[in-house]
Amino acid sequence: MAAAMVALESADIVRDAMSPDLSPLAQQRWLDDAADCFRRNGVVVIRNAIPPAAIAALLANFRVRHDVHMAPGQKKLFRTFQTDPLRAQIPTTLDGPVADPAVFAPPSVLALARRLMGDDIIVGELGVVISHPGAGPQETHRDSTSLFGGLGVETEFPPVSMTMLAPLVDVGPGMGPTEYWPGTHRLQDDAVDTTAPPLRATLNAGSVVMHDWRIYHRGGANTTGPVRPALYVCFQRKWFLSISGYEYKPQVRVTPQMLLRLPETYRPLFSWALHLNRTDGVSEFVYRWTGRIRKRLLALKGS
Amino acid sequence: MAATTLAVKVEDVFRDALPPDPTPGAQQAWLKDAAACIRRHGVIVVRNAIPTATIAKVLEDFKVRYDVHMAPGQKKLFRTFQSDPLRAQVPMAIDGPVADPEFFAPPSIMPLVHELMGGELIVGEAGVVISHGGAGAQEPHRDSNFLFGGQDMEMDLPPFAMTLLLPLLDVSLDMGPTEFWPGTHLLRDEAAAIAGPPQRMALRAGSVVLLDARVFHRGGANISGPVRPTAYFSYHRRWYLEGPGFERKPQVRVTPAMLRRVPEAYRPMFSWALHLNRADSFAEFAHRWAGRIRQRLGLEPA
Repeated sequence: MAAAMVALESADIVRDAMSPDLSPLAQQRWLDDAADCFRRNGVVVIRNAIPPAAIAALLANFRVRHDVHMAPGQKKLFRTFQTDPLRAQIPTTLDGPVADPAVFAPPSVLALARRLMGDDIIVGELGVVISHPGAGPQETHRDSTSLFGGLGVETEFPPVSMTMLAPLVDVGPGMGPTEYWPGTHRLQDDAVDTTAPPLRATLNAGSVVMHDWRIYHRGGANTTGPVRPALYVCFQRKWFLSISGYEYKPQVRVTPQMLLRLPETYRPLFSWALHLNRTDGVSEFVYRWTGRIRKRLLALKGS
Repeated sequence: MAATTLAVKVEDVFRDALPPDPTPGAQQAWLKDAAACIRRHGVIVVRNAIPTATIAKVLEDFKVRYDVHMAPGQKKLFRTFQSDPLRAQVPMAIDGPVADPEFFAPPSIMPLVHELMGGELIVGEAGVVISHGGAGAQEPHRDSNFLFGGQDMEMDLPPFAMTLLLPLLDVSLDMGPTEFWPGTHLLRDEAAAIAGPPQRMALRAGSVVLLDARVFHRGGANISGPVRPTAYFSYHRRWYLEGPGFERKPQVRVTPAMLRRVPEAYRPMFSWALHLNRADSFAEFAHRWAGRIRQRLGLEPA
């Protein structure tokens, strides 16, 4: 573990966030380097990507609005437990401090996602994962199964989905930082060896980790506490749809009003969620009853 | 390029549907041949894939339920016009005769689609395209473009989305049957892909066209009339979704009650549409007002 920690702290995976006063050329270099790191390792840590004040506002809001979720053992609105009842995943509304672009799309993160997946991306999932003290480690997993059933060429695919994890509190080694097996995003299942020690993303609040949807990873055991909420935002190519696990909750919890309050340039990231399968209850009701009446009338006419 | 398209004759992509009770060997041979046809040409036409009685019921229902759409020039519920006001695209409810698996999942087509895209599929779009007498030809287009912009490594990928076209009545050449450019599902160069003439054929109701969504095609000009409704179902791998064009209408028009009436084995193909972004307006209302009250009480920052 100590060796892995050293590796994580090395320049291999950790980058400082892009400073806003960098020249365009320096920004380009930062992006080239971060994209190269992500392609190679499937994971990159970006230190100080979110301003401390924005994270503090988010945490304060979360403690009030999601107080029931900060206590273990109760099942509430949209809350689902993972394999362990001391872990929960909750979609958060795109509202209040969450709706701050500095939080859901930090400049370094959004620029990197666009570099690797193009400008036309969406936020496909957004919420908080919480681990309570005593939570064991998650099962090691990839976030999605392969797209074409495991063809060899799939290991060459560029990213389809990039997840940003942003802890709302400082996460020390005992609080279950996420554990990663770098490079496994480019390997087929039978070539992956997860017996090797993972890299552990111990992070200060405000720093984030981004990972490729194919990388093997797991939430670590929260042995020491306290409760650890972490925001997740999945940047995805616009055609990628994640439906598993969303039978009873929304992928992105957004209403038309929330969307209107966002700065205009960020709205296309979320508008898909309102447009998708836009059925209208009243229209469906009218459709059903006009059909029944018409059929009755035609039957009468025929008889 | 032109050579590829010209070399293909329309007969090359015609197949008869699987007989009702094929032996396992015959079914396997049919599937292998049909799958090879799709992989090579991006298109297959399957004759008599749907019983004529099934098609007749859908047409009859459609004429009653969608009568406003069978007349040109009016904009109604969920209806969008394509570039030509004499063409319309209307999502169709998964209800009545449409909800019959013989129609939305014909016995020759489903095994073929599973063979090409695996077991876990969704119906990503379902509806009817209508061309009225006088409609011009559509612009040639792909229903779905390459996933990664057309990189070398994706040129041999199997399909991730396939469109099934089901004319609801016999379509003569003058009525604008679908025209397609075989082989163009694996070609990046769009100008070269449509440089040659397209293939087209008259179709009887009950015959269907199955396209790899990447293949170039277009609705032909409906010179003679009458109005020509063609149903479509898009089968997708479960992670693929088309957003553009669906800003004001659903991809799949299904309600929980409709889903319950679909035979259980087929429900997973549609249930995504109900599960997707399942925000509950009552819960959102409660969330908002609980927040306001908390703010008033000083429990939450404004």
